[in-house]
Amino acid sequence: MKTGNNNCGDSRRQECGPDGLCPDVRDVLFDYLSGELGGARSELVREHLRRCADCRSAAAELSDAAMLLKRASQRQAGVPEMLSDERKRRIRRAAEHPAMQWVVRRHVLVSLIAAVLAAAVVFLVLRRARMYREQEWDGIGIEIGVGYPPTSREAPAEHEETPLQ
Amino acid sequence: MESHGKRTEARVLAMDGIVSRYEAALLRYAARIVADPDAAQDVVQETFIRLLEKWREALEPSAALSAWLYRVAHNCAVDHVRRESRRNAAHERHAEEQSALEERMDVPGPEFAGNDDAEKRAMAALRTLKPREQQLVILKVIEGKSYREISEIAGMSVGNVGYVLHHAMRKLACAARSGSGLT
Repeated sequence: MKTGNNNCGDSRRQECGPDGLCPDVRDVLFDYLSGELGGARSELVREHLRRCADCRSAAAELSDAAMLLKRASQRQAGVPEMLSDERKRRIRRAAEHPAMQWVVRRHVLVSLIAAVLAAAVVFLVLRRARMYREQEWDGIGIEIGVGYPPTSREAPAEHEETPLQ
Repeated sequence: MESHGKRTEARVLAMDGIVSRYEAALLRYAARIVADPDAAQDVVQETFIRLLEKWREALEPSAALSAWLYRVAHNCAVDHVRRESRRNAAHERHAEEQSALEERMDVPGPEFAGNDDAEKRAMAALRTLKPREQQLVILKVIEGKSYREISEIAGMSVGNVGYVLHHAMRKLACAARSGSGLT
């Protein structure tokens, strides 16, 4: 990291930002190190690094960090190379039965819909049964009530008047 | 009916090919984000099942398919990490007790066989980066992808990939130098 004012022959040294890098390499140093910076820009960075020890040191730090990470990841133990057989079977089942897989993956939603539908069916069946029973009772009533005209007790009062309030 | 059977068979065969082509790379990638081999297996399984559900083009290896798989694996892995973080917050005390127990029993961490402090610190620092930065660093430094490939996977411009990577690597270098985690 740069601390101030040494080693850099770059005339724009005073423009260095808070990250301590000179303008020629600011934001592109890692691009350069990973070979992603092309042509003239790459040459510019190379030339700058030749002159500026601080930026060279920053470049070395970036390279070291990258190498450290790469080495650490190579030593990372326990990372499987292949999926387990069970997981492969699940993927194969998903390929064979896409619709079934859709249902399995959304089992909560599907269960809810199934429950609502079941409740609706039960409600409709009960309602229908009740209507059927009422119709049956109505039929029985007609049969029992055979005999017309009604008896005097049953006959409605033709001119029954309600007392005035 | 017979043609349906043949189609299914072809689909299964194509999927087998895709799985064997990409499983190792995706497992490595997911394991570096979730830091748990079993969880990485779940993430990759989920990725392949989503592929079956969502991928509308031919099931054959291609740059576009590779980018799509990495992108979905990344999203699944980040979702997993978030879920785990929430769960861990809820069971923080239990986790602390567990880690204290492991320390007392001198059990090595789940992912490192080596005991190089600088490497451990580098991986720990990697995990403290933002998910987007982690994604780019893993793809570039560990997986060795080009900026163009990364831009397809991450859905960013090539220039933006370089910018984010540069600053993420500066943070890692700083953490490695100071010997502390990132903030």
